[in-house]
Amino acid sequence: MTTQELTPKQKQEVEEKERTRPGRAFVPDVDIREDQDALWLWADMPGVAQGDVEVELHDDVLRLEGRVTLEDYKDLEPAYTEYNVGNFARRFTIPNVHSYDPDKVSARLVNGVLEVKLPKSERAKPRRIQIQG
Amino acid sequence: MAFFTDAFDDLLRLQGRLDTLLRNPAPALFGPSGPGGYPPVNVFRGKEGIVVRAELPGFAPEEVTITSEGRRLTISGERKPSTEERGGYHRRERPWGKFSRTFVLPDDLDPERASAQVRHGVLTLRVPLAEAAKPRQIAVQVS
Repeated sequence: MTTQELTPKQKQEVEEKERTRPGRAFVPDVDIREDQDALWLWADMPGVAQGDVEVELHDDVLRLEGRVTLEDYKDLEPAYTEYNVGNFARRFTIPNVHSYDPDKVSARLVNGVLEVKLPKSERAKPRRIQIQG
Repeated sequence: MAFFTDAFDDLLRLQGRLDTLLRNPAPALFGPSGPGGYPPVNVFRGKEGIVVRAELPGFAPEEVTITSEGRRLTISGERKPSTEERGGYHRRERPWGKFSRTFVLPDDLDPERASAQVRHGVLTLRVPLAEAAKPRQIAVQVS
């Protein structure tokens, strides 16, 4: 495996005509992978604690929202800054949403990364068809 | 609801303060080796010294290394690409790779007593003021 240098990129703000929460929110970087059993999604949400994340599947829209913890900023005066801090929000439309089992969607946060698993319903899993002799 | 209102106010206030500095960078009292390195950092002044903060999502505490050499302080680490081979990716936006960034600390700080933690993917590095730099009261002696 080759290694590469990480380079900074500007945090992208969420662009929505009307937002439900005040303050700016940023778009988290996301990886989405699909295998035989599930659709997996990982979203970088640094500064978001386990209890401050919302994952919602409504019709075919998967909504992710994370609120940053601000208690660590008490009594601190910024002296030099390179990035802004804000909540994270992103939405995806899931094609073939009926292939997934909405009751089994699970999510967890590890080291500021949200992991969401949408397990496929039994019907949608690939299966091998036996050839009858 | 009061709890949430306060949190929003705090967020707006913090965003505003960070914005002011992002638009008008302060003269370098604290020197990164150059702007534009990874990870972007924010430096705060507190009562006890300075606090350096950087967003490092996906890094476990043991994957971040901090070394100090005199007044030079280096943060480095590596985020490995996911090695999952089964299935296919629909999207791959999360960056991976190595980083290393060096800062020169002002000389009123004591890097020997620096402490660091990584929590929820955010690095917090505290460098306390050197004892000699702390304000103190000088007793006036009665002669």
